[in-house]
Amino acid sequence: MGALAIWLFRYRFFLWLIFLESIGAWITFSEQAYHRSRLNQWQIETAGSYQSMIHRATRFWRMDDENLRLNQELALLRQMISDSLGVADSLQKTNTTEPWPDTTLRVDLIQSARVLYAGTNAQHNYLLLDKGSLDGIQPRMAVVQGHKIVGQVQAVSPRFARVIPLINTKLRTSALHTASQTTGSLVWTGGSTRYAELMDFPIHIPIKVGDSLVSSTYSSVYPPGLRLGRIDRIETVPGAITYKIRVMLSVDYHRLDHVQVMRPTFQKEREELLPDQN
Amino acid sequence: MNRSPWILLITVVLLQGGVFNRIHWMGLINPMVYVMALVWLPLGWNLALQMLVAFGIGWWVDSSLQSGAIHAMVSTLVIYLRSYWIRLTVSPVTLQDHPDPDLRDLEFRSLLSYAGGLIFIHHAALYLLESLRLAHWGYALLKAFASSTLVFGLLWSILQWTNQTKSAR
Repeated sequence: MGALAIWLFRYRFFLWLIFLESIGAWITFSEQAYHRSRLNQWQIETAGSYQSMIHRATRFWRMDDENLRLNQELALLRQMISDSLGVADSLQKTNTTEPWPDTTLRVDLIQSARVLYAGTNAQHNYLLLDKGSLDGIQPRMAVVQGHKIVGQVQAVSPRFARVIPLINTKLRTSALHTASQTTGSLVWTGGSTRYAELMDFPIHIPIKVGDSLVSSTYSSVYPPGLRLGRIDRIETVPGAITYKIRVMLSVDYHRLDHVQVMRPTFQKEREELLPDQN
Repeated sequence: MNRSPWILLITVVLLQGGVFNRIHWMGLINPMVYVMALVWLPLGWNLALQMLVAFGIGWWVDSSLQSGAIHAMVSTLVIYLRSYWIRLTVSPVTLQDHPDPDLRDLEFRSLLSYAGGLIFIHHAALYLLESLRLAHWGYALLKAFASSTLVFGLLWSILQWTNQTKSAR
């Protein structure tokens, strides 16, 4: 105790300096938007560099898994090419000059990115990608893994991007029940990262376990038709007008390594028409 | 040293808010004359009190510039460093005779390294903190050099003028 008192007395002026500087920094970062944004960018950059380092160090040990995943992705891409050729073929057959039947299906930028960090044990989880504004990534872009929705870009620094995944309690995603063409809201309420809840789904609509949910046209962030998950459990609450539905998410956030970032072609034009939500 | 810093302090702080904050010559010269009051503060005061006064002066300038508290942070840092800086820049003989030397009694070389150095440190830290980008350090240092040269020139002129007034009496 005596030694501590001596130490405190000896460094009292330095501690006083730290105290005053901390007050100054707190005032500056809370009042100045520029400094706050620089701090935010610095946090993203630091976290990105750190996770990048960890990733490089552990990459070697994950080669087997990685090869398997790449093979699966290759198969998926071949399937996608095949599907799109089929559509083009059918368009030719009908002699139409329309480039694509539904403009909401077109996407502008598809950028492949590596997941440097995937938080799964908090309420407000986030992911960190190794691509940023220098690669064309911007906030409110969709992040997908093949046909499966991962989340949306929240903030970017020049070299990194922070993503809000579906497993973040702040995110609410419009989901379309394909069998009935009815929409509800997909919300993660915490707990297991494999399951989320489908809210506001009316009780008079027929629904069964195993039905699939995809992104709806209501979302300006995600192209419609991307997979969100499958219905895993249905409960009816006495007196309630909506079901209590548990959804098994398509994406396994514990095995997330590579993702694609995309933006619907007319996203900006579409969002300009929406009322300001700030 | 038996001197009261209050007149200079109030004058330069008011001048800073009213006049010098508006000066931005060629995007390089934006003199912070209030640092003269910091250099002028008596070393005999308790260091904690000096730092508190410096923080207050800086914050006053910040409130007129709407700059958060960056001037307060830099001013506090300069005052903290001053007690070490003087031992590096002023001869030990002078310090033995006058532990709190009057700036007017310092020879030009000591004045330049002591006061000029502190003024430059203040401006450099301020502009680096203001831009908060390592990529801009070159421009920040150039700006600090230009502005601190002007402030040091002003300080030196004031000291010359007060010396002449003293000898005229």
